[in-house]
Amino acid sequence: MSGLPADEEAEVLARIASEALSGLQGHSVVVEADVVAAAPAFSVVGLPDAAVQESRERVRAAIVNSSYEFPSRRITVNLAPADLRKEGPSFDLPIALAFLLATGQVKDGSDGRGPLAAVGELGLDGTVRPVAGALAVAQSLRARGVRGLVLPAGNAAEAALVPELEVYPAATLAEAVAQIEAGGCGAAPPVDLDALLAATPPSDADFSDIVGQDGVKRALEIAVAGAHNVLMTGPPGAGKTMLARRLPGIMPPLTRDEAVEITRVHSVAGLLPPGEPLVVRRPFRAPHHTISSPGLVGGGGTPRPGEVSLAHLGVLFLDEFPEYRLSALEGLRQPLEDGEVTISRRLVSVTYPARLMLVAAMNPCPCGFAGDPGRECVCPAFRLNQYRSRLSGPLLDRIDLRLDVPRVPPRDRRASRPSESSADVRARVVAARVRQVARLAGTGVYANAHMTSRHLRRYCRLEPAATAKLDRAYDQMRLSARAADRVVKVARTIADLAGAEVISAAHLAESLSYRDRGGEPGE
Amino acid sequence: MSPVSERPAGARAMCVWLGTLASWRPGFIGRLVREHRTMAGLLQCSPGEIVAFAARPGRGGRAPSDGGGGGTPAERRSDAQHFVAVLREGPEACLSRAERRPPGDVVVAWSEALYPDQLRDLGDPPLCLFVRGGADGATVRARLSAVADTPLVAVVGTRRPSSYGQDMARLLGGGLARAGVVVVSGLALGIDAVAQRAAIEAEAPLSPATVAVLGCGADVAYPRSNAHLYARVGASGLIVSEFTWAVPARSWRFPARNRVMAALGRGVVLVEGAERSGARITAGHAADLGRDVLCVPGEAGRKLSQAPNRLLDDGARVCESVADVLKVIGVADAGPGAGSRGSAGGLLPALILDHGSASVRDVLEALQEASLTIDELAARCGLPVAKVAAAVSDLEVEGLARRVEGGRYRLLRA
Repeated sequence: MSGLPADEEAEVLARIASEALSGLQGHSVVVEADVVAAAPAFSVVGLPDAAVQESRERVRAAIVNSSYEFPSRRITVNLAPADLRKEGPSFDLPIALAFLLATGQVKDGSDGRGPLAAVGELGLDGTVRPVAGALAVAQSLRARGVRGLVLPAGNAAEAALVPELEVYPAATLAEAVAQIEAGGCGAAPPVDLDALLAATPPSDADFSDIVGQDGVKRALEIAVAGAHNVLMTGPPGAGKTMLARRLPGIMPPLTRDEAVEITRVHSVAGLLPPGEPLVVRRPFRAPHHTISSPGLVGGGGTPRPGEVSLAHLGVLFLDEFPEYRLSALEGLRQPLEDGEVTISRRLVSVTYPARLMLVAAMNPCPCGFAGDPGRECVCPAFRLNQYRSRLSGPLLDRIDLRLDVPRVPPRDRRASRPSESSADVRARVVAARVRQVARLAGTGVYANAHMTSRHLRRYCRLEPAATAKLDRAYDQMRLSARAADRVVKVARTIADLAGAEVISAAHLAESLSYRDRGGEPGE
Repeated sequence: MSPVSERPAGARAMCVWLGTLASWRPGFIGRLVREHRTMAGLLQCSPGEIVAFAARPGRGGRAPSDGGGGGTPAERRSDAQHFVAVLREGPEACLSRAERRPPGDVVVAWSEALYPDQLRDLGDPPLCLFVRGGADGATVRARLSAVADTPLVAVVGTRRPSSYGQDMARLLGGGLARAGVVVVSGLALGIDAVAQRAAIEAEAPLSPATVAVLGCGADVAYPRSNAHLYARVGASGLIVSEFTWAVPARSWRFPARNRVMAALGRGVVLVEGAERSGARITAGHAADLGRDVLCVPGEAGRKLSQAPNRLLDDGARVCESVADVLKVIGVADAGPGAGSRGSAGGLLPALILDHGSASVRDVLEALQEASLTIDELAARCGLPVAKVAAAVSDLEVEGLARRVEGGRYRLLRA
């Protein structure tokens, strides 16, 4: 120590900016490395979790295998601020870079242009592996005014979505070092998301693939047009899953902002496929009915997005709806109401977006054959009641359309007229959405399904014959007040599809056919 | 068993005591009557003789499986304990306990004039009936005596009806009530409940609106999911049981209850039932008692059509409408309007005049031939599905059609 000149003393402390995520929210983290001539040790402090602790081993091996020196000194890495919990392996790269700066093996070349931030996981051989949540990290750094970011090459495409942020991909530690020494050069080109969106068909599956089921298709068109949630009831093999799968294809085309939002959530969940770093289609999520409540709505020790958030701006398909855990079903209520999920833990509270269209499907009875002309149902009465009563009123209140999906016999399938393509249906849906957005401007609501009862009174004008029909239905069909509200909402969407500003009796009558029938059939 | 008196008790106390004993041991009355040949002879026994009879092994009132009749061992044990407790109690104490009840609960003994005469046709009649209905004893007694002067018809069937069965039960329940016939049923799930609800909702000037015969205590709402209907029957009709207060439901009590239903009615209408079903048992009892048996014919090949179609084969009468029932039991039909509300065809012009919609008429015509789904209707009528969906809703609102299983729409006939 005594032999070292004074200016080298100053080099022993180095800083690299990085970012920690809690949910989609970024928090600034500064990685500081201090090297002193003392008994050899390498410690990481600043509330690191197990994965961060292990990063010492990866950093040591990556440095040595990238032909840098790992001197026998006392090295302390601090992740500031010390009261924020740091998780995951994304601090490997900034720790290694801070270490190399602190030991003087690397010089910062940014020259007053502002320092670069870094995130990335290291392999033992010095490769830089992709991390989860790179898009959210990049957005957060940009919002803080950071100039540029050195990050794994595999994350470059998503980070490059963020405008006005220089993105420097690095496949190895050596490349990352080169970027730091050059102060950043050869930034990844911005991604032309619009071109990518235009080039991607909205869905591989087309509505015209399904023969027959015109009644159900019409109802699904209405559902998508007004962003209404749907419950389909029908025997196994009626085509409920096939129909649901085709819904993203008739939803309005994805906008740029929507694609970024979806990518952000999928990135944080670590679900972006390696080859396709961007999500350019509306998601279709179909979790199995054995899924846990945290799996469906989000949660876990480190709150991760659940299926409701992964289905954000797309479709969440729950087949065998009554078979899901009750806790999972009840957990759906808040996201369906608010369009987002908040998960609270002792140290953090995380919010994920969850603006999804719920498409639920169920069999008419546990055995699946009630009402099937070909087979007889064998369910005992109590099982049937049990099956139907698993769905709570408050949850069903958030589902505007109820459909019966009958099984189409092969001869009808052959006889059926050719069906419309998804593109034709989508065009009508878009026109209906445009009317809704214009009407609801300034209300904070963008589609009919989300109208409150105040909006209903204001925006759903019924012609006198329609009012009379609603009153009569209210008495005859014993609609509840809520069910009547849902009928009006759906009628509003039907009128929008027809391009009408006033809801006619015919619109209302059609809407009634999708109403909640309570226990019917079966007393 | 010493506390039980050796001298003869009053006829009413004796009836209630024996009836209470029979609530806890299957077939007890039948065996007693066989032992004493006539009811009169039985009622002249001293309590001591009954105690001795009950204790006699083998024949002695003891069922082969010891008070059994199904149920878990714990349930059988509990029934046996109740039986012994009542036996020790003796007639007077038993009567006063049975009468220590809220004002709307009444006990009617076989020996009383208020006891329904129809039940005396049974070989093993209930020795007493535990009845509730209305706020006070006077109302219950008024309704009971009305039952003697009013024609009664039992409507029974499966607990899991198809929508067709429900529609027929609803039609019959409401139509019979409007025609002045009291509907008797068992307040079970399914056909029973539909028919009784329809009878209450017919708002006919009948008192009682309907009679429910239970297989548990008359103060026990079983099944629980029918608790709401139970309360409505209690308010405007009669709830009757041969089992004493608070007796829980057990499988052997339902066939016993069925014989009471069969005996109470002038006839029994069976709406859907499997080959071996409680409804079939009821119809069998009715036939044995010389009551009229009618069946709503079922679709061939369905499980729920077995009981009615088999009985029709055995000579039961066909029931397609309320008028069929009235004709068979010999009640004058009050004419159209009172018993029915006119056919769908009759209402058609009014509806079309109201709405001027050709699609509604086309859909209605197609539905007159078969029950169809929206897609099938669209294909038959050459209409877009949106129009068909609106048309079927119009029909539903007017009460002319309804959606049934499998997304089909069916016309309702009255």
